[in-house]
Amino acid sequence: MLSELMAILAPVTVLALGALVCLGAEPFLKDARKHVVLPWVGTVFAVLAALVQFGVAGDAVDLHGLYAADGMRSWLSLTVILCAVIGLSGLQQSLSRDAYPGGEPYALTLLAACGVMLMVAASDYLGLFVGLELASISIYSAVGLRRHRLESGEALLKYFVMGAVFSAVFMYGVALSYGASGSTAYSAVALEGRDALQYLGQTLIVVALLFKVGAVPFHFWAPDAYTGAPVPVTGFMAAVVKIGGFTALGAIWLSRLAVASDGGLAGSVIPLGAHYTVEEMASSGLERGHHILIAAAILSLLVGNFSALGQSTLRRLIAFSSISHAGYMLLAFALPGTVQPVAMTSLWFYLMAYAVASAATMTAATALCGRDDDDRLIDLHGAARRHPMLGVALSILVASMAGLPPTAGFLGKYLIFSELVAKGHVILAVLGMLMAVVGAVYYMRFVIGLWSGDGNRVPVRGLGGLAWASVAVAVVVTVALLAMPGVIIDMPAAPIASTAP
Amino acid sequence: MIDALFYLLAGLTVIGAIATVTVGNLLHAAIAFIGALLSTACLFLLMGNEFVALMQIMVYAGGVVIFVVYTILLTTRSGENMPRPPLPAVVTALVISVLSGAVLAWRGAAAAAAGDPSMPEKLGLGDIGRRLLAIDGGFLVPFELISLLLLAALVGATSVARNRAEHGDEPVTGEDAA
Repeated sequence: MLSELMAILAPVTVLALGALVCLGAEPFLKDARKHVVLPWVGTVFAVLAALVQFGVAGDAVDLHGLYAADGMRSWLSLTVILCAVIGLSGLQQSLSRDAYPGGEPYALTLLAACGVMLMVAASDYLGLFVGLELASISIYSAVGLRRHRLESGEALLKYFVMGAVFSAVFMYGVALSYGASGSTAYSAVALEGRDALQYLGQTLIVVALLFKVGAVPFHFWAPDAYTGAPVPVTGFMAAVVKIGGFTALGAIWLSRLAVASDGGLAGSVIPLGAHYTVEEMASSGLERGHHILIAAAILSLLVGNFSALGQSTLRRLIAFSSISHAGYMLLAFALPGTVQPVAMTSLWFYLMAYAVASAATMTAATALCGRDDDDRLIDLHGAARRHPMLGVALSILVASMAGLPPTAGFLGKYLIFSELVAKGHVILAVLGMLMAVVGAVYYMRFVIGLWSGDGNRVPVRGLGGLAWASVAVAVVVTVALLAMPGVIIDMPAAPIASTAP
Repeated sequence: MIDALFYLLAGLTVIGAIATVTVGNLLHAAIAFIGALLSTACLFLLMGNEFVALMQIMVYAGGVVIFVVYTILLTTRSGENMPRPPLPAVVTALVISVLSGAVLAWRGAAAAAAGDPSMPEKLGLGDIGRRLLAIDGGFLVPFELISLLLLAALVGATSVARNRAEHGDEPVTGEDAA
């Protein structure tokens, strides 16, 4: 019991402790000092949490079926911690420039990271819900940091009200699923004659999670929320909310696949790196879920990419492009036309590559934006020529999001498309590739803009030490994931022995 | 005796429910709604389901209605004299409630006649609490993690509600936000 508790919750506890220390120290610091001391305090605790995460990583274990730890979950948690540090350092840039009179955003960032780590570890709907709410509530208030700005207040209200409604939808789905199966585990099976009820419940759960990750047709909140948030918060939320939401979706999907492949796995905890072969896809009922997810994927790809083409501010560009990334990730949920093993490895890899790149892009871009995070693309023209190192880092990170070599984003897209072809969905793969070309157009237009023009429009401050360090780590990770993808892709996946109640 | 109590509570529930949709003042409607919910909770108690009764009071009579009352009190006074609903709406509402009541009565009578074998074992309030928060197989860990969630909500609400006057901008007052 104690060793499982340590393995699963120790990194989260360290991070939460960091948030408490930030909160406790905040009133005793002068306003200007807050933005010097607190990000570093948070970073120290985040590094500690990462070390603990490395230390406890080992065999796959689970805590009474509520939370679990395995190799892939541990990599995803490390990505969340890295995104938290990138977010902290970006907030430091943005808040110290505007002399923001408080230090609580740093604690909120750490708490949001705790919530996402719980979502990653969850293997039970109730465990997931606590993480989901912890992450959501922290991020709602981080979105509204500049409430004196009209669009920020609008973003806060819209995101909060919509988020509350879809949290209720999620809980309703969990209640129905519990009524159908008598369990809140991901891998619970419906009791005799209650399949329809479970299907309804799971559909509501999936709809709520699709809202959280910003997939079409539940994307309407994303452009406003992303635009109202401070620039580094935009990057942070795009990264961690996607990790949390898609890990939950992928883990639920994998659990359904596992139960469909072997009824004996019902009620057990499924490791994220595993693969399962479903012999009788038609009778498993998974195809209905497949149709919903693939329809959302196609819509997200089309709406996200084509809307992003016409945007004139960086945050709206990132908002619509994050919708399109949700589309690529949803393509990983496609079921094969023939009997073959199905894994979610491409999704996990894409998630890590996307999260690191999007968080770091916005943190790096914070240095180039004006007061109150003025981020019109036209004002960013030529900024890279005055800060060539920053320009190079931004170019690599944006190339990763666009899916161009030599970056991890390229391999992520390659894995998803090649898997689609292997599963027999050639048309979907072609659609994805075409959309990647559209994506490359707006991403490259942003990069080319950075390197052209005179660059005298906005006074640029450059990055501080912490932000430089975190962006540099992100760039290294982005390139290293391409060089050594085997660490994540070839992870051995031993099934967990069930200890579920 | 139990029967008389049942009919008394059931009558109170129906009267409260009818009053909720017929009175002209929104606040009175909310209070009538509380009455209906509380007597429903008493009905559950009468049947020996303390847990469901307690949930009914905490979630509905407590949480939901308090939220409704706050919303009414905080918004404008438009709720004092509600217009009469149009006739087609009244008829539709009547038809739907009679139909759903009939379906429930029919299914309930059928289940009572069959003596539903899938009836779960009856648990006392203490047993449910002990099972939910058991160290082995209960939801103790998520329950403890809720403390983090409450902390985040508290800090977040303070952060959002704080007056930004010291920031050199117009302070955001409640009226502006509304």
